[in-house]
Amino acid sequence: MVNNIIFNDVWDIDIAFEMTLLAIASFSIVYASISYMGNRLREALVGGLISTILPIGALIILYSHLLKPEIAHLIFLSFQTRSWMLYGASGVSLLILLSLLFSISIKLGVNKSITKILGLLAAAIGVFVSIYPGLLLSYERGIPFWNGSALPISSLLMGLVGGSSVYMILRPFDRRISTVNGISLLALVIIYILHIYSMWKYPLGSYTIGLMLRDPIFITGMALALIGGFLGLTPITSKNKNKYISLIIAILGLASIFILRYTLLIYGAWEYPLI
Amino acid sequence: MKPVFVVNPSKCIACMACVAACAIENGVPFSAARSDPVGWPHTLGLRTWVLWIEREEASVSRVFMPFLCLHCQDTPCEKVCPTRATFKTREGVVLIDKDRCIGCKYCIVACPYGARYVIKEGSYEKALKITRLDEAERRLRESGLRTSILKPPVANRWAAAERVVDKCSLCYHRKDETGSWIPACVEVCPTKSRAFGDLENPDDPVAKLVREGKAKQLRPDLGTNGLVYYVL
Repeated sequence: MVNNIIFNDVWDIDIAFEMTLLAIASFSIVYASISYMGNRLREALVGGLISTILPIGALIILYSHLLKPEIAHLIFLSFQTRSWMLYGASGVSLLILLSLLFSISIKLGVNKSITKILGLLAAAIGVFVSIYPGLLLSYERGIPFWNGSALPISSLLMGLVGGSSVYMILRPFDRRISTVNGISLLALVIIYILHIYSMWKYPLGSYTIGLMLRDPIFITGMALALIGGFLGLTPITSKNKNKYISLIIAILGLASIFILRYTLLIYGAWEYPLI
Repeated sequence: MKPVFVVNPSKCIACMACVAACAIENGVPFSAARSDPVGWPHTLGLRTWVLWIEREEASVSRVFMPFLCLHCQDTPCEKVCPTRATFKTREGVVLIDKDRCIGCKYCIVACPYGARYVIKEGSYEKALKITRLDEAERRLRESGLRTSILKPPVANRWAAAERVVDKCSLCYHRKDETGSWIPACVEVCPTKSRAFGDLENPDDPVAKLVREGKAKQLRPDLGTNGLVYYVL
């Protein structure tokens, strides 16, 4: 068997950015819903607005990525239920709609039960939106690095990190949020390591993974996730009275999920079969 | 008819007549200046290509490997296409409806064989600017023999077009009233390295290669079960 490795050049940094926006938005609405139930209206409103605006940005990036954006509506009209793109586009659109309604309800002081239901629905969609990029990638049987069950889990963790990081900025002294952020970042690192380890069984998996492991971008992403993860769990943070420490950890989390997503995309490679 | 395409790399001499025939038949932007020995439709922007594989084992050897869309029957690209632009005909030929393709490139990512590519806007003008082609075009016009050597997309529903994903159509537009056809690349192949047949015809010599197990599918582990087989 002779193989020929071609790295993915179809989905690049713009898609990594788009997926990161979705990750942040996905769990921001979860936190927003929890905040609303805890009667923290300002935080709930900010979370709702973030989950409205960021997915719109993500859709604009996706739209600009199309060769014929003028007929993009066919995604919905064709109703191709076997394509993850239909579920993704529907999920993101629903997230925008529900987050917007949730935010408006808070702002207008609509009946609490209705707002609560809207928040819970938006949060459920948010969880799906966080997992969806991982599901989409993990179904690609031609790209061994993506074709694994670790990807949806890592996507969920990236969503958790994204939402937690936003709320660490909004609630810098909440120990629970920094703990969730820390655990998610460390779990993300562990998932990545396990996934990379599982790749050695592929004939040329070690080649592509070897290249990724020595790439400074990947090393930076993993290092930021590790540092952010440990800082989020240390007593320095739990007894923290300085909001800038929380801000730094949040930035570390956001930067690490963007970098790790980017490396995941660019090191997705086809091992084209020959003879 | 159940089409079957059999490639015999040991007969291929890499004359590239198949590549030229395909480009002319389907209006694919093509330059004779291209000389990459390694590449895939995905990376070269052509519907078919002949790869050079050089091996150094007991002795140095070179194999020419014609490559095209394998027309998978368990079709990854069809499954992911969000607008149903990619579909299978009754015969199992995988085609792209250019009017429905939004160019999301999800199918390019999903194809395990690198058979799909994008023709970007301006590709035809760009191909004409390549010196040799430009010169040949001018001389041909002056001689009055032909108006153009770079054919624009031909009157063929499955021809190449800009701003959409493109791939081999097995020259489905050539299908006649009897329901049979021969792809352009098979027609011009001087060594019969490429052969096309009907699996439902018990006397078909090409189908016989498949039935006898002499021709095999690439990467059966992927389970895509294509119409294209290789004698390896």
